[in-house]
Amino acid sequence: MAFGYELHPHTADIRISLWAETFPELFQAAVVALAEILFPQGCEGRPLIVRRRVAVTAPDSTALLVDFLSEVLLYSQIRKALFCRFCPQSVQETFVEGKLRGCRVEGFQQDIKAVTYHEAEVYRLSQGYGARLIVDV
Amino acid sequence: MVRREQLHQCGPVVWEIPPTVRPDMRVPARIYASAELLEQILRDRSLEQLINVATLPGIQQAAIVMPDVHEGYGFPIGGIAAMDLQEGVISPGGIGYDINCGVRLLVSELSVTEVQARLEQLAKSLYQAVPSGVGRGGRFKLNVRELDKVLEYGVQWALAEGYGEEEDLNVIESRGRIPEADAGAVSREAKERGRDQLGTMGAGNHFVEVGYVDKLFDESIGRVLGLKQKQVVVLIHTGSRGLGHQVATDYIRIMLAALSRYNIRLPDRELACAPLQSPEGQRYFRAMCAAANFAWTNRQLITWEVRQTWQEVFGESGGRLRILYDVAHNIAKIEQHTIEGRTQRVLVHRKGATRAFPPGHPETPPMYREVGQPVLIPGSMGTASYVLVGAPGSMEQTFGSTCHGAGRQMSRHAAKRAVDAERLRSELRQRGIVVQAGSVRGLVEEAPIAYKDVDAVVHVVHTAGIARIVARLRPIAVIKG
Repeated sequence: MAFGYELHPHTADIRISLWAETFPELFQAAVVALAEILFPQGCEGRPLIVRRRVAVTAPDSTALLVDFLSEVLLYSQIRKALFCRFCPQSVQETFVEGKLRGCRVEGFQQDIKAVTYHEAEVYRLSQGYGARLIVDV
Repeated sequence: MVRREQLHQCGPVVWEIPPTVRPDMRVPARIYASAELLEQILRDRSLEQLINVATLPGIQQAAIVMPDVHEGYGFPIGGIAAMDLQEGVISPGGIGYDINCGVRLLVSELSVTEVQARLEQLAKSLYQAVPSGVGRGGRFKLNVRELDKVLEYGVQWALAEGYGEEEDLNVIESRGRIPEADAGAVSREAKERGRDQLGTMGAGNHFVEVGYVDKLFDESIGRVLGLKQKQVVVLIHTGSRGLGHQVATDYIRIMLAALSRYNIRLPDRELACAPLQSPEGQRYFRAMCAAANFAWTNRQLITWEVRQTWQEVFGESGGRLRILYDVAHNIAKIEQHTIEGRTQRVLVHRKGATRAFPPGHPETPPMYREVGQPVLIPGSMGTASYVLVGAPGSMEQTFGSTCHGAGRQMSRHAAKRAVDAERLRSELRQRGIVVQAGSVRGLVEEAPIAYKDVDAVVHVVHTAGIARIVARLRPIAVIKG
């Protein structure tokens, strides 16, 4: 796995740091981080029976990541599902398309209101990509 | 970071950052705080965010924060910004993701001693009756047509369906319905997200709390509000749930895309806004009003759940639960205010701030008009909450607004590290407080240590003359998602 994430405290919210070797993997990292906040036990031991195609266009790479993760949050809430995997199919600077896979959960442990643009940033690392995001909880 | 020496003290609890501090400021930034609370406020970036608000097009008089302010996203939480109706903007970030998050206070006919014997049973029953609804639905599942009625008619829909009493309407801000609401301005996704969430409280700092009147500071106003010493009350704190969150998400995205069309440059994307008179601004306003109606209906259905439970636990001897008042603290409303001697209508954004109209104001319910609009200030879990009334200073200084709570001072993560859940439970138990919580994590994140001192917060607004302290409430049972 060539990506990772960390969750940091923020006064009333949660700050997410992401890193990945490639731009598409940044989106995979974001999905896993969101799942960790919603339901820390993750999909372990549960069948990944919920699937959802996602396609998002945005004006730049930062807005793309925020809008993409907002879509994942929306589908999680509507489908009552925890999406813990993202299989990217087409990823460009302002467009992302792929498939989400996840499991049914009996409820989330954290009520995320939104993925915010506040201090959001996608940036290049010497090897790969990094990003910062804040979710409102 | 803003430095202490950049602030001018304008009164015992009022401070200002002049518009000369940053060239893009259109108005000063004003802070209501004691010297001690100001020191806390200066530790995060609330005041940088307030300065950003002071740059928005059409802002009037000052960007204002209350003593419970803390850093948010875009706007600080605890902020007030009034915009000119023609030249000004509307900003979803100035209202918050939880549109019409608010507080409702129910008052009972029982005293604390009459409730004690069945308190455990009451707390357990309330926990079962009022679901958190986090990732699962509540008991009310509406089809799209019914949901559209909720969005446009608010609490009127609930009463027509039998979930309340006609007199409930008189004691809810805006009578539980903003008529400008348009269900057509709310996306299918937002409706889908909120469709089964009516009658649910959510998680985070939302709760249902049983308490009692611990101290009446002003007995004559207390009498008008129907408050008595030792009387048991129920406080409900929640908002528009996923529906409101999605409305905000949708329109922030829409407004970001429209910024260049209106030549608006922002220091932070979360300040995304559009001219109020633009198609985007008008559509968001109507969607926001619809989400506000949804939130009032949500608190109405929770009230119904609480009333049912109350009757199950206490039977006929429990008497009735009357709504004292219901206030929004995340909303934008068109109101009439006097600015530099001229009376005009403005759009008042309140994000973590409560309307506090003074005695005599025509929008205050007739039964409270002689004393002022009730203001409900929930404290942190296990500490005091307050009932205040609006005071004349609110119209002169803060666009008819006051604080909304204790104000978070510690991150959730830091609270988790600092607080031991079992110890917290045991401390609360020792103080006679029963806790029913969905998760240990949710409990420790809301520990009193994570919040400012609510006593100090309400003392500031009382001293400033924008609201008047009437009663202090003490909790005896906390029900959380």
